[in-house]
Amino acid sequence: MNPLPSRSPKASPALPQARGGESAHNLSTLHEVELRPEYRRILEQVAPGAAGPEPWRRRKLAAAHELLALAQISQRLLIQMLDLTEAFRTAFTLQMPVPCRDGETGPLRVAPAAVLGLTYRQEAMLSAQPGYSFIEILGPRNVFHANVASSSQPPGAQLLCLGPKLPPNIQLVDLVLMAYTAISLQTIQFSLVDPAGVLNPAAARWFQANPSHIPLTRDPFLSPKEAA
Amino acid sequence: MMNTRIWSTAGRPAAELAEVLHSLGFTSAAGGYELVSEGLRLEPGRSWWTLRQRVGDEDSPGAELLMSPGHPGLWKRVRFGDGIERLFALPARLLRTENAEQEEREGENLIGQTIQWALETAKGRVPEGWAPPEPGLLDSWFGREQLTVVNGGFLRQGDVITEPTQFALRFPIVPMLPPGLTPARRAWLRVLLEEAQNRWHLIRCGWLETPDGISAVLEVDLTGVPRALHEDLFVTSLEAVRWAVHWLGEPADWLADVTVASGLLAVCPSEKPTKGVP
Repeated sequence: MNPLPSRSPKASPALPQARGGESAHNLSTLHEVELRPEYRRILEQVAPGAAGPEPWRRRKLAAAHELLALAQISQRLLIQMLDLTEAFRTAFTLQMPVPCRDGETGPLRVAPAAVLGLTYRQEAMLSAQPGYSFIEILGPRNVFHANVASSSQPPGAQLLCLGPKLPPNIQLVDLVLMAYTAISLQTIQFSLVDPAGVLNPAAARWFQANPSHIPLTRDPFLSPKEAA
Repeated sequence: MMNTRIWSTAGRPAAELAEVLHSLGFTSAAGGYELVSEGLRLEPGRSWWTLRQRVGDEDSPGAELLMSPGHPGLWKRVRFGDGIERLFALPARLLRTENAEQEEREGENLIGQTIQWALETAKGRVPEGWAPPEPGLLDSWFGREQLTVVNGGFLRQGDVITEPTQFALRFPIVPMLPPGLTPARRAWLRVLLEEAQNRWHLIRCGWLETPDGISAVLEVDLTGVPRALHEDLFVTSLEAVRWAVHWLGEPADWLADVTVASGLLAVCPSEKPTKGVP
């Protein structure tokens, strides 16, 4: 399954990173953040293309605002693509440690960032969805993680599993935060007897045997300065 | 001073707990206790105490999870594997704090009362001699504005029901099902409510039929709750139901709005299990 089929993005400029002087915000008030002009322009650019029933359209616009606000206040997140045409689709870079391993026996190496593709479909607003149905790690390849499907196994998509089932109407920003804590191993599910969650049994066994690598960071998503 | 009491995940000395439960007819079983005559299993977990009851004929697979509101107590139907079971769940902290100590000082036994509450309400009965809290006391536990949930353009007004034989919190999630709601839309709404009932402890969902029509409601029914738990469980329940209303309001509004056309909602939702690998 590839949540990001080859479709030209509606907006794909890499956006500027946050600058100093932001007013205080926390993650539960992102809808109140006033977007800076460069972020507002992106929203204005993609909004007319947002199709679908009115509640779904409204939801996509609200989620886009929150995602752009998160990118505005956080140094960690850089949005690279945003498309509201049908499903809510976005690709973004997250600065965070990412566990990788080349080949079956290579050493663990930690990449400094990941590019994630996130697809939020209309039905996710109305019914519970499998935890692997939202996020794919587009880069780096060779991610070595119990809850990420291996790129060396067909179909090669590095799907990230965030749990057996995620509740209906889960917030898009919550998915971003869950991806951060999952990939950086702050939260991890590596029980091989539970078929939900473990997409790479070899990685699950390796981290069980090498727990000193868990977590890769204890940093929260927002730095104390960003959150203050 | 060294603590020599037996360790227990329940946050309560295991020997003391076992003594109380054995006196009520429970026997020890792996990970909990069982009352074989009632088909009940109690698991005193660190966060929640759960009582589960084997399915009966009325709960056979395929039966609806959602019940008519008003059933006394916290019992509800949830999915368990491929079937359905009855569940009564209570925050564990309520049974190990000063509530329990106070009751025991007064010569009463909170665990015993709580189990009796569960047993009586499992049969649809209210414990003998039970009464809801006095209105003045109840009002001191919360602000009436907490019965209003606002989320964007969505607003729901809840109610506290205090009758001689009922004490419950109830919020309409869809105040009135429109006459033109298609079977497919109603199926989507049912799946949404079932998911909420499965996912969140305390919360029960159902269809409330009145002379004016049918509404979909969320409720926490505290009828029969032991006096020592009145305030803490009410406050916890109010937060729980507010959270669920906030979470479900937007999708429920959409599903019930027949003026919004949607190809997705023209057919019934898939109810296949989603657990497993892609």
